[in-house]
Amino acid sequence: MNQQKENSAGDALQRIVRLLERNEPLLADTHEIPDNVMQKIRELETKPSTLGWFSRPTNMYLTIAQRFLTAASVCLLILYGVEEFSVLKKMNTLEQQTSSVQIHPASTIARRLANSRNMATSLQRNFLLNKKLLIPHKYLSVARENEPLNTMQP
Amino acid sequence: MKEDLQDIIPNIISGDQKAFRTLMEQFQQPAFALAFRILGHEEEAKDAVQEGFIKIWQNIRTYTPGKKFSSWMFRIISNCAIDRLRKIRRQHEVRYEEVAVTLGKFSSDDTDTKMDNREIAQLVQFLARDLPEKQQLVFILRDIQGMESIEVQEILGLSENTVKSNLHHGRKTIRQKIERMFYQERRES
Repeated sequence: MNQQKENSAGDALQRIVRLLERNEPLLADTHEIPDNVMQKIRELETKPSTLGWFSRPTNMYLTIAQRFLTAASVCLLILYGVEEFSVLKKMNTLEQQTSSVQIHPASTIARRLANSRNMATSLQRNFLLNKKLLIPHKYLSVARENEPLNTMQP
Repeated sequence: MKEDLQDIIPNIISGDQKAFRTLMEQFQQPAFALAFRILGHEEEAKDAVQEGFIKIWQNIRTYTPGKKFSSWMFRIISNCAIDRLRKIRRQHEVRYEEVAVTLGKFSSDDTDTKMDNREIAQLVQFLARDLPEKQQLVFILRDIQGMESIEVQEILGLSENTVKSNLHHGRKTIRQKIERMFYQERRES
């Protein structure tokens, strides 16, 4: 029963498809579409652009100027891009160099040396200060010969 | 026809409107048949063909001369028809009784009697109305328009397997729809 039902549906479909295949829809008026399309094309070609006079320059010099300005703006854009790139590259290099200096073992030694130099300088300065401090005591010691030296220490 | 096209197309590219009119006159009938079978509506099909020809005029430079012109043209026409189809999806439902009356007028062996556009539209709408867009297009191009699978692939931009599966599902859905209608008819009688 099911098979029979399917066959009849299949047959009906086949019949409809065959009928549609054999009967092509026909255009009643063969001039209508070409006429309408040609008219539309003419309208499109004569239609003024929305940009107005600027889009259709009649003056040759204006066209040249437009193109020159376009080319110049493109060149400027490229130049700006190149400059920006080179600056960024330099900054990156500098940053890398700075960071490598900070982490390099030699830099630690250099820092220590610098510290030790500072220490030496401060010691020296202290010594000189002491010396300066000692000088009046010396003079004092000379002045007061009887007094023991250890009392003159700061 | 191919030799004529070889002469016509360069003229069209150079802006010859007469040459374009010749091309339209040559291809308007198959273009209309395709659009009509997709849309199932005469006026909409005419509008789709007009729109398609305007697009062809505007984009003729993009046509690759070595390729089949009709496939390129059918692709543009079918795209225009599909756009319109999406807008007019809500067509009135065609009942099987109406289709049966039309079918009764034409026997399958009768090749002399021709159907008019209204009857064709009725059958197209009956067959394809409930199908998803892809299935409908593949079914129409392959079964009704009688195109080769490769041409359908080119026009719709689908792979061979997609065309096959869509055609299979489309046919199956239509067959099931007819079955349901037969069943209803029997129950009512």
